[in-house]
Amino acid sequence: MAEFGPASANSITAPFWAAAREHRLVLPFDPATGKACWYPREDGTAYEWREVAGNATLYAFSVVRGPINPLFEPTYAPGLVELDAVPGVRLVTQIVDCDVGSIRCGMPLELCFRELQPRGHAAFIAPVFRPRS
Amino acid sequence: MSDKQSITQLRQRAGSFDWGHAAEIGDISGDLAITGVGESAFSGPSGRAAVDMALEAIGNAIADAGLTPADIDGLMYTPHVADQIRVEDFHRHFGTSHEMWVSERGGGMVWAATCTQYAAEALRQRRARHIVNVFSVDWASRRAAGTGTPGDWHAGEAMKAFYELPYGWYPQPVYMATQASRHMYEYGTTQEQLGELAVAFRRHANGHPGAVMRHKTLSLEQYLAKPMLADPLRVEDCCLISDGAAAWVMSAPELARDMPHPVVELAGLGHGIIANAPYISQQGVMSATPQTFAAPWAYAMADMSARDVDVLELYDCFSITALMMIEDLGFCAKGEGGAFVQHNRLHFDRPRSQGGIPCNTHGGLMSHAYVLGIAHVVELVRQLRGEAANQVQDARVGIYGGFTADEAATLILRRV
Repeated sequence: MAEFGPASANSITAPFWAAAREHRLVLPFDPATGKACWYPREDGTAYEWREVAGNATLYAFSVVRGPINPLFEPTYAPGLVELDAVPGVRLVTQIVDCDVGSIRCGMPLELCFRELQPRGHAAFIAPVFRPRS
Repeated sequence: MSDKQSITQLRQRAGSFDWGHAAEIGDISGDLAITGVGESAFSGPSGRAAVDMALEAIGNAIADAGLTPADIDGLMYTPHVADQIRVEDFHRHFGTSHEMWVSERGGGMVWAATCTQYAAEALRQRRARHIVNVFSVDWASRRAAGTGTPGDWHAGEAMKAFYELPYGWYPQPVYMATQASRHMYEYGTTQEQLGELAVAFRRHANGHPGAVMRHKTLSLEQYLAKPMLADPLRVEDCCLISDGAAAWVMSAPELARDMPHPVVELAGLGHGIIANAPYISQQGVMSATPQTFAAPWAYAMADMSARDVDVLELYDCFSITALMMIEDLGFCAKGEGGAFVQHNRLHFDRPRSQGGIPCNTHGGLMSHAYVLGIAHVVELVRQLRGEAANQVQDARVGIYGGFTADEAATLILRRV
């Protein structure tokens, strides 16, 4: 497997993972338009990385139960969430702290941080989401 | 030949969308015929080289067209998948040395449809008379040997590697399981309805001598008893991993009339691409496919609608993908695909006259072989000639629906 996210020093990915280590969620905004750019592009834009609020809605998800991912043991729940405060941005993440059988599209979520440990890679802190309390 | 439609006319007829677009393809309706089809054997790990399987398929396609290798003066393949053949391989194998028109815009997936626009242009400009498109994979052997998987491209793409892989949103079954969750949420689609596709395609494979799963039956009860792989998909909702190759010959229409088979010609072509490609995590509407943009363009070019189509060969990398494409191609209202595929509506022996739309009549990627759509087109041609193993009654018009997640293509063929 090629280079892997949290270890990157790439200018359009490193700020995201550095902030995660401090338990903050930051996204790249284009200073010219004031809009979040997701995914960022390596096109010379000097992105402004701003912290954003962590309430979100679950757009879609899966519960991985079979050995199809070389990095993660089943069972886990990857999902796509939309941030309530930043329309148009959809984050890939994991849904945690709940019975995977209770996960539903449309459910309200809140941001939290967890250490993830993919096989063959160093552990890292990642922004993830759990059912909103 | 009828007057060609301008790009402006096609664009107006096809309409516009806010989460993707159709490529602007000129009117090439009637500009080429598929005059020969050929395949290699399809299997699990075979130890055979992809190039050898490709050459076997090409030889069979040339013979089927009633031609000799020296008659083939055009070759299309893709450089984007490892170990595809090159002109040197063709000449070495067939003992030829003539000049050939060569294009790297051929192959399987979406290219199995979009190759026709480049072939039509070359035929019209008389740069070639008979063009072969070929695609082969040895992914079953590679997986067994630990030397590659279909997920490799995704794992190597920067944004996916940095923002998706760290969460385990990978490989393709997870992508499409996620799409399926959204389709179920928005439209109430059920596991039983996904199972209807798996069962129909398996039944077709059981009746097809070349299908990898020809001896393994699957009932809906058996399907539902299988464990989940990635909710809501089971292994049975996923494509196989196979070795195999297929090829076909595209000829100028005026030559096709004097060749051995009934003439099967290009009627329409569309190519759709999502905004934010290639990132399907950012796809505006996840309960649909870019067939949404491709199909209207192809129908406009062919001057047809879904009502005119007798048989469908859809890129069924996953059951949900085929189900969404049935909707996006207009065979039922958006969201009603789940109910639509019930009652054997996709089976080869329930033709349009009986309310069906026979689909993946060779078994598809899920039960015939995972050769990325190249065998779908071969099957479609055989259906339209009237020589298929699971022959659809009176099949005259058919669609190949190509797919690469962020792109889709609609290829409409008709028997003249």
